[in-house]
Amino acid sequence: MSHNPLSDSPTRFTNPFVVESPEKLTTAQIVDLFVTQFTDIETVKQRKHTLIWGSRGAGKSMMLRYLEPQCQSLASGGINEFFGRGNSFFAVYCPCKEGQPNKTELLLLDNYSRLIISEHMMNLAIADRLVESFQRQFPANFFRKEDCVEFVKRTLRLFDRASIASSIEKVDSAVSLDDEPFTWLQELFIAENRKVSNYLTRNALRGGGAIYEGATSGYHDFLLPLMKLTQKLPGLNSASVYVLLDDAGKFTKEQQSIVNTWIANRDQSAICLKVTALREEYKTFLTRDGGLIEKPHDYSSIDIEELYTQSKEDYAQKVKLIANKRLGLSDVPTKDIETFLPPDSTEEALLDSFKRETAGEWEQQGQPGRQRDYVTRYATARLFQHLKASRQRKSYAGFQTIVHLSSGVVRDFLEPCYLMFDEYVSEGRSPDSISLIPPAFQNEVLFRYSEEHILGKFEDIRKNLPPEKWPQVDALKTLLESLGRLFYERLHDPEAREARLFSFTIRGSVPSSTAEVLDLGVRHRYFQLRTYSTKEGGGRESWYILNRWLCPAYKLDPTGFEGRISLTAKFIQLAMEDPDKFVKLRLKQQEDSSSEKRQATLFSLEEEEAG
Amino acid sequence: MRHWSVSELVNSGGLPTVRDGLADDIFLVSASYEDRTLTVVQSLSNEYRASKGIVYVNQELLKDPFINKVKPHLEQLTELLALRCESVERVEGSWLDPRVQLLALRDGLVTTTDREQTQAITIDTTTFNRESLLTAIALLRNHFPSSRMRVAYTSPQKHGDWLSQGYRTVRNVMSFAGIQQSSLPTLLMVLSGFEPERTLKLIEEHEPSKVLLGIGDPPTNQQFLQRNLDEQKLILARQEVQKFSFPASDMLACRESLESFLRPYLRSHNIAVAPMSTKLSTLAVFLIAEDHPEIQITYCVPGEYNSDNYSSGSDKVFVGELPRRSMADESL
Repeated sequence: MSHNPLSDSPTRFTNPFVVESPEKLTTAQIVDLFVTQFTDIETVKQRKHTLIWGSRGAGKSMMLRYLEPQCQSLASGGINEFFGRGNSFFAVYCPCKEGQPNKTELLLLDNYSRLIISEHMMNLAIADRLVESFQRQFPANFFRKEDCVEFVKRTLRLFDRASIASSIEKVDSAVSLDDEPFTWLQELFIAENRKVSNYLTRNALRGGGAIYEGATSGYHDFLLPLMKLTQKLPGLNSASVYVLLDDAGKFTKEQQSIVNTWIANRDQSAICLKVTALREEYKTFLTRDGGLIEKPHDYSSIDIEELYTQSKEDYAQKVKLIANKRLGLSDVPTKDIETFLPPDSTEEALLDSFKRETAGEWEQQGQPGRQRDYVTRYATARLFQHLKASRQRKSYAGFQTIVHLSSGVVRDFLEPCYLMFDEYVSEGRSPDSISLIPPAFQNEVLFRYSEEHILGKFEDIRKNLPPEKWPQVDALKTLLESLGRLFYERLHDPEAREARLFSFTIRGSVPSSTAEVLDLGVRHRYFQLRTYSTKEGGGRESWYILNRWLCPAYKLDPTGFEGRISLTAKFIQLAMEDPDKFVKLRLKQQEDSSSEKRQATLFSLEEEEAG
Repeated sequence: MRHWSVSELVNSGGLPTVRDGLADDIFLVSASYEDRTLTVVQSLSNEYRASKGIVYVNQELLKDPFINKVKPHLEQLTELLALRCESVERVEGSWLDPRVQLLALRDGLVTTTDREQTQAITIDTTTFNRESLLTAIALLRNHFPSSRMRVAYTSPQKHGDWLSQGYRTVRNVMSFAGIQQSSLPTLLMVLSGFEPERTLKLIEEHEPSKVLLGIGDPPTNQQFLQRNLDEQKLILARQEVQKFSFPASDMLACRESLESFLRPYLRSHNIAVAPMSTKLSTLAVFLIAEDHPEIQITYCVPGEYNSDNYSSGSDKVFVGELPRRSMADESL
């Protein structure tokens, strides 16, 4: 039986901020790098179906791989210790890969056949991964051979014997079930996979008349009993099998409905599904029969990026733990990320002086509200206004600021840090001599990252879309320009009562063309979409928060606060077309609003547009 | 594989039938916006005859911005073939919808033709999009296993500044899904052309553990080699990417070369191959996938084609015969 030793070679980084696909990391590297605090890992560990949302790079795959037996074994002090616990689980990592479940030939089948064949393919893929885990994730001899043989024989009974007869014959001629039971079973899955593939090809080339001669498998007759058989393997202590479906956006909509059907069965004591996807790529919550899976009855869900929205402090702590772990595994002498990425000290001193000044103002104005809120509201804005007046560039250097810029996605913190370190080393420095990255050096990279990786991404987005959708890209670009300029004007206006705007809500419904542009912005993470209670109560408005990586490009404040403006559909439309006019009218509306003339401006805008 | 300049081919009497003195059963060509779409048909010998001429066209090309170029080409091809074929049919497929593409080709190529009596087929591969070419050849090989199948390809004198822009989706070519074992890592082999964006998209979607990036060397024209190298620089800089060379101008040599690079991975990886170079190398990929059904052929559908300036001129005409399948392989 093949076996990978639990102990991998120790992790060392030349560049402590390197981002590697979790699939390529060794067990030791995952355990070394994964931070359990502030990650929702405990929620994911619970015996409940879970949908995990998050952008690419948010840490979904890392979290899933950390649940695999080898990692849990390392984290728990041994495999027997892990499975000896009452609430243990056996996590099987099943990445969904392009071209594997979503084969083009499925388009040629009728709906019913497509579902049957899809579910069988998905079952075979999970079963193959399960058996691979037996072989790779456990120490040699963890399972007794006779138990393995018995497991394989019982698994065979889950199929219609006649349907798999030819596969058995073929596998028997190549592998001995008694000697290598798990390899034998994997070969059987391959043989059955081959039958599916041959059928799909025959059906494509021949059309009607192609007959499928392999087995089929469903949930109740295969997947669930397979997991129950797994639970009975001595050593696993009846642990529930967690099937980790990573990147389920790669499934077709019908295949996602199959996953939903499994979820709706609520058999978590035997099989518990942990499904990750980009929210917009999970296309349905309906089951095969048209039922709807619902929270919290059928599943729980977590959104990895919400940690930042809910608690910026917790997110900063999480990033700090990750970054410190990485520094610890590198030759860099500094092991504290806050020391390694210092802020601009002159600017820090300036901000402190504005804080003192605004605290004094609060006293003079009769202590309106809480002092801390008053200082937060005005001190940073004053700093921006001062820097503009004295023609100085705002610094975005410093660990805390870069954490804010990353907007809840760890990879968006690591990537610019990687670039900084790489460029700093390329100037002839040795990694073990770098105790910090100077703020000015950080700034150069941060501004460039904002310009190139965020604003410069439009060309990539365009390439990813058919030409008929390209006007949406232009509209999104114009919308960001409009918002960036409006927020800049407000932040740098000494008279503005609420200067630190960074988000917008939309009053009323928007036309589908506008909604598509906003969706495009969400999909490419220019906006985070949340909902917000309407002022009138009884409803929720869509709340779009800008990606903070836009801040350096538009000279905005990324720290914490998400001051918002409320826009009508007409204003949003205008912002997608004409930044000059939008900014002018919106600022005028603000002035008018303060002198109670807001309604008149709205009318004038509507009149202009109608004309 | 033999090749001539267009004038050499014409001066030598033009392209004859597959079998001396006997008419071909099928002549298949695809109409496009490139002028070289006409070259092979215009270079047929005076004696060339076929029972059935088929002109394939993607329905998207019969609309703006393509129609002004495609329609005259389509009419010319139909007229020229009518002089040499007993009947000429037009088959309208789609480069956007793989289902429409397959069904159109299947209906057009195989339903009305006798399986046993079809013994000789000539395919002008020049201006097929790669996906429909692979599907067409798979259909023909499957339905007419005993037929001799000859392929022709006209290389351009010059390519435009860009060939295609953007991408719509990544999918496996119909009937080349391959056989995957979910526990194996993915190897992506890309035969690169002048469309690095599509290569990057393929890498992004497949998330392979390893990429073999092929550069056509020798190319069909020496000028194409440096451009190919320049355009793939960005991709070659990636850690998981390994470069190799393949002969882009010879189908059988290319097949041999590709197979030698793939052989070490046949048992250890799920293999996806993306042919994005010449049609001759695309045919080599077809032959490999035919021999190894576990290999998937993958395709990145472009956002748009450069219909104004995709290529110009006709440089050489390459002609060769697909090797016949062994009887054991015909059981599908």
